[in-house]
Amino acid sequence: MLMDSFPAGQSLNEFLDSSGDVRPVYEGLRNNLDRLGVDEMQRRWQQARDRSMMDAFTFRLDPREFRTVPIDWIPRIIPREHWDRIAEGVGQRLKAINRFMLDLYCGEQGIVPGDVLFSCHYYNPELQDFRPPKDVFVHIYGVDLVHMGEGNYVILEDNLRIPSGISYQMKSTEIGLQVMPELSEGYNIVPYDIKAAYQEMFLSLCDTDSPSCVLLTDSKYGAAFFEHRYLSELLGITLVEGSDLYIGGNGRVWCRSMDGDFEVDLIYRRVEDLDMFVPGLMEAYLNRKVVLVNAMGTGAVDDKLVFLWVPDMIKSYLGEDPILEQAVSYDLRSPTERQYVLQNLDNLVLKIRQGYGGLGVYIMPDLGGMYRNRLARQVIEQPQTFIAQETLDFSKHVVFDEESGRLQERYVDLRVFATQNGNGEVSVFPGGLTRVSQASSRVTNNSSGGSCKPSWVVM
Amino acid sequence: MQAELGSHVGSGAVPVHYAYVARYTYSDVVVQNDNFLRLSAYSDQRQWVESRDIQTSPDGRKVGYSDRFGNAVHRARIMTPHQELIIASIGEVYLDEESPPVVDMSLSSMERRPDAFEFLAPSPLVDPSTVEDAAKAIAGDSSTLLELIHRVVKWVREEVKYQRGNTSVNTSALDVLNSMEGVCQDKTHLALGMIRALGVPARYVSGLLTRQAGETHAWLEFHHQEAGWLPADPTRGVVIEIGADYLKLGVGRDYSDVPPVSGSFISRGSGQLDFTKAQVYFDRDHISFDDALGLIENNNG
Repeated sequence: MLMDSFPAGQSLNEFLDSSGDVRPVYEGLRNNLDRLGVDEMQRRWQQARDRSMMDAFTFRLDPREFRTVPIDWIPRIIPREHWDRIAEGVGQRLKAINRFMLDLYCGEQGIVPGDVLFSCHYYNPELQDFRPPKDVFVHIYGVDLVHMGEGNYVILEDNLRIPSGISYQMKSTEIGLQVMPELSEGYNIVPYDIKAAYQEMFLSLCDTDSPSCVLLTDSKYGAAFFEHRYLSELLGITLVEGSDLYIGGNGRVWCRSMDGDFEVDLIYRRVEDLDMFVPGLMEAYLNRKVVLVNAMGTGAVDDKLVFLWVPDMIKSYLGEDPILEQAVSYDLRSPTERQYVLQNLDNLVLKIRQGYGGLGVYIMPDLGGMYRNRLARQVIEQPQTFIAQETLDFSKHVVFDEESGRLQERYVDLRVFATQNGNGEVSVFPGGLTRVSQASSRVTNNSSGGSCKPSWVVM
Repeated sequence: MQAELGSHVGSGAVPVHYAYVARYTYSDVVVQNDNFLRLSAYSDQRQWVESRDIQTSPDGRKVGYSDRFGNAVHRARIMTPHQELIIASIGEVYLDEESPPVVDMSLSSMERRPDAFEFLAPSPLVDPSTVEDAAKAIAGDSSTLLELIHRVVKWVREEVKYQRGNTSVNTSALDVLNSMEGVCQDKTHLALGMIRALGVPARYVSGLLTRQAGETHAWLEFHHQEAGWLPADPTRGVVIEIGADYLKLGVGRDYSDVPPVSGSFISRGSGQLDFTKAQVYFDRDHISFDDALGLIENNNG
């Protein structure tokens, strides 16, 4: 049997408890897997990969390489009571951040030091006094959590610029259920409708009943191009590159088309530096000629140092305590915190403030001495470019190793996506995207070579 | 705070106005220019800032804040296409004419403040360990703080040749020790490194000389337990007794923390600092941006 080979783990595992027994919520899945058997699992794994290939379900690290998203098809199962708390906590955070951004650009804020905010590369001075349509800055929000056990999920970081991965959440679950429907037998998976939520969001942001929307991609060679193509097809909106758009004589954004150019009401942007892609787009936005999703300016709160003040935003704007904890973090601009970090560097995680996709994340306990000294030196010389966080011993899951037919353990995190529409209503999409680290690593980002798992929330 | 400084104004403080201008030119059109400006007077016990303002041409969106060293920073993002950028800074400051009374202290009785760590540790351009041997040879056997400072300042002033053109904003304290030449910024870096290597917290100061028009100047401040931060200028050989001859714009661990202008622009071309000049006036009752721009015309005329 599949489980026979698996040793009782030393660390927290989603699938197994500390004595090596399958957790109650996974018992049905274990039986379904056993009925399938190792040989059939290997066949299905191959089928699912072929299916990914045909759907061009890719995440390209190298533009010359066609690489499907690596997926382990044993799903992660999140009990409903865990999920409800996650969803509540993510929604709370999203609302507080949006309120803060309104004060940052259109009012006054006293929560985050000016030194931290205004030095952010992605703080936009030109947005001062600009209120985005319907007062929404954060339309699409991605937040990374890890599970510390007993339903205690801890936030590692916020993604507020152009978070990617929601198509991977949908697609991995969809292919998994199609290629191996037996696995979900006995489970009642909570459904969700991302298409409806996005379309309703777009509509609520525009002043017209049938807005013309486009998805602006960085390029078809970009890592997340699959997602851009998939979402544009799902939502029924035109997929465009920067050169397809231009600013017309009336100041509005136009899209070139074989059937005649058309005016654009809303751009679901998947690029950050607008004017590099479409000269004049920022000005059109500031003149309220076009709606952007996400709004511009969100990058300031995406900064990993600003993260430290999000709990204060929640308390200040909502008058509530944060529902979800966040990783204990250190502000290296403070000489005393810097000294603490240098003395305890071997146990901490260092992150570059404006890094993304797992780049610029240094998990010191997992790194060798050479790195350590170089990074300590950088912390001393450039303290304002890093933050430090306590290293968390978060949960692992099992993955099926096709070659040996056995299970292995890997760290997993959870990226949860939420949207906010023009009426201020928040939707959090059940399950999220479970990201799986490579062996002997805690970094789970796809751009760092990690894989994914389908994730189910079950009643 | 204000009342206390008001008494300063009555006794030994002199009002001055300052104007600074810089002009950058670009080989092609710049579509976006995002700059951090550390060009406003620094506010402390010896400098009471009455007013300060910054303007750019073309005009941009500005935001002002105080950085972790207490420097007044303006960030200005210009979205109007341009091939020439002018930055002008003006302000009025009351400068203390009397130098602070200082009692010398023995080095052995010095206590470390918790935040002194910041100004003893290596910074991007000043690694004290690289100039430690030289520092010890020059002033290692000093018994008092002021003796140590005087010896380092005197040595750097006399031995490091003042030479323009051979150093850059990336020249480190060790580079200066090796080449034994440089400008005020380089001399300051070397002296900073030596003072830090001998256990005394020291920081970099960017500012203006009030008695002569020209570019920005650099000097240093070392920490005295009772008197706080005290000035020393290894280029001109002045220790503590600076009177109203210096106007401080910013402080940091070294130049990299307080460049007068830093930032980025989007253009196919390259840019260069084409002209810069600062002037401090003792005899005026107001200052305007036209005065700053006038510095350019005077030069061309």
